[in-house]
Amino acid sequence: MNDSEILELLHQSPQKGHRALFDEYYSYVYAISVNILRNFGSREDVEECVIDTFTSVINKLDGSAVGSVKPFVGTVAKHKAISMRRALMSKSGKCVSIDSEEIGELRSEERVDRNAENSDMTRQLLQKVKELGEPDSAIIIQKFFYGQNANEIGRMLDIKPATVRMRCTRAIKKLRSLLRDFY
Amino acid sequence: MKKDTDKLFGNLSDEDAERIAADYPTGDKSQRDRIFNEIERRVEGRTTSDDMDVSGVETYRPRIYMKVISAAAALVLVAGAAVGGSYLLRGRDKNLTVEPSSEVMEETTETTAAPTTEEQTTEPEVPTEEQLLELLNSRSYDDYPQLNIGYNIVSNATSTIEHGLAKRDMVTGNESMMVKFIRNPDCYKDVDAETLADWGIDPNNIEEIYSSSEMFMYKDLYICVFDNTDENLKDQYEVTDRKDSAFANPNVFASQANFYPEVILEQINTGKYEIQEISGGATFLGRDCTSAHLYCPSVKEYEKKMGRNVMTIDDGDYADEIQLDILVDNETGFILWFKDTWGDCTEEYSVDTLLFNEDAELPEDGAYIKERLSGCIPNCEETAAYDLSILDETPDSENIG
Repeated sequence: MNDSEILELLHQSPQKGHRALFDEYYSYVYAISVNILRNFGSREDVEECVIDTFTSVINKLDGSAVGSVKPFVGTVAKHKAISMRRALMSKSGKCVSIDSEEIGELRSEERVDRNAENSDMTRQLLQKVKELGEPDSAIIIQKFFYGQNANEIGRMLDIKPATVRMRCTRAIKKLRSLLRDFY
Repeated sequence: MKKDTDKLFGNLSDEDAERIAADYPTGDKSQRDRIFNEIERRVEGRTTSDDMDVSGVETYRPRIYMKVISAAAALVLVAGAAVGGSYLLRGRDKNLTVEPSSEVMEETTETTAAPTTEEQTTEPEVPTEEQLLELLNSRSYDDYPQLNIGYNIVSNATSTIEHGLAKRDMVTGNESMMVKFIRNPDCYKDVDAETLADWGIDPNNIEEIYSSSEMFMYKDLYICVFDNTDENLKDQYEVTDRKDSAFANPNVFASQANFYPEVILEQINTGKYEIQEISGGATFLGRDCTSAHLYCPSVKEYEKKMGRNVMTIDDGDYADEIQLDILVDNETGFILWFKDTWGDCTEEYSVDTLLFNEDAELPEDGAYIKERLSGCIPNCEETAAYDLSILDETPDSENIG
């Protein structure tokens, strides 16, 4: 379903429109949230961020027109996730005094000098994950990127949790060997 | 989020995350429905978490996820190996080509009984932490002239399911212990037939007995029979003086090598777990029990405290904390059920047989053992030379009168 169809459905039947919007962008919002909250939040924090993002987006779309949905959803997701990350850092005491020795450990979000290298490594990583073939590539992504457990992955891919675990163990070994030349 | 997970996908750009979302959508239907329902609830109330009246960290309070255990499973396997492995390896004659003996143990097909909490008209008494520890440590297997305990251990981290049954007669001092390991079919589901054949597993009979052992602590003898899953080989047995075995005194139930609850109890006593919640009113096997939830915040720290080195396989799955739930019999202090969760692994121990005194079966007598050994071969010359005439003497039951 494209953006204009979603907007049309939102107009005709808000609840169906909400579900269509959610189904279309759930993975997108989840991916942005988990990527920003990694290291800082729990699985529940990520879900809370996803819920908050969609709540804000729906509230906005119900009340006013938005030109393009995807950039709007992405922007709200990023802002929500960054805001939550700050809150979590504050709660966990990760905010440090500017005079503290730990200040050196806080890094800028934009590490320009590393971005190019990281981008290349990520591209290779994702390529090697893809080379694992299905369902192993999906298992690796669901487990190590999204943080899903074996039961959830099993339900998603219609395979047993025990099989997920076994395939995951084998896939990670294979991935290690595929990546040996790069890392 | 786990550290190793972070390492794998720790430096993704927004564009990379977007690409992953497009190529690998996430969330099964139940997960999506749950989250969508919460969104709808908030949209209808027109609230976001920013608007909600919250305090402290309650907004982000994580659910307590059940986590699981594999070290326990390893211990079980070690126990099995300790019971049978060393003897089995010693003196096994692979050139023998005799038909295997008949299976002695009856197939047990009991399913794990789930613990239940019954509604009670009066509020059950909830013991304190001290009272729970006192109850656990008050268990005394020696209080019962005759006792049978049977159990199952099922783990999602190991390829076998363990069934055990121990019997003791304090009047004669005789004991027996049967343990068998059945292949867990779930672990072999996606292994192709060729690979199974390479592993020596019949694809049409994955659930066959993987390994078993029978121990008879009979009078002054310790006799252990090791099954032989190779159809061309006979089962073997080992005989030693009982005084030289781990069962010099009747202690089959108290042996940590045989009864995993004893390991759990020692870990509780040595501070591995924090007791987080205790409640009364549970029943298991029709017996009144106390339930408790325990938590080990760091296995590494505990092992370090115990002066042991910890080796972990750093494969992204390692979790350092363990959740443990137990059910303790209020009358005996026996742990009747527990489930531990360590990372993605779970292990569930459940007693399926608990019989006392006149209800309990006596350990196998001399005639039974003699018959069992007739289908086996001694594992070494020393065993072969053993005088087993004691098995021909009058059955204990007749002596007791």
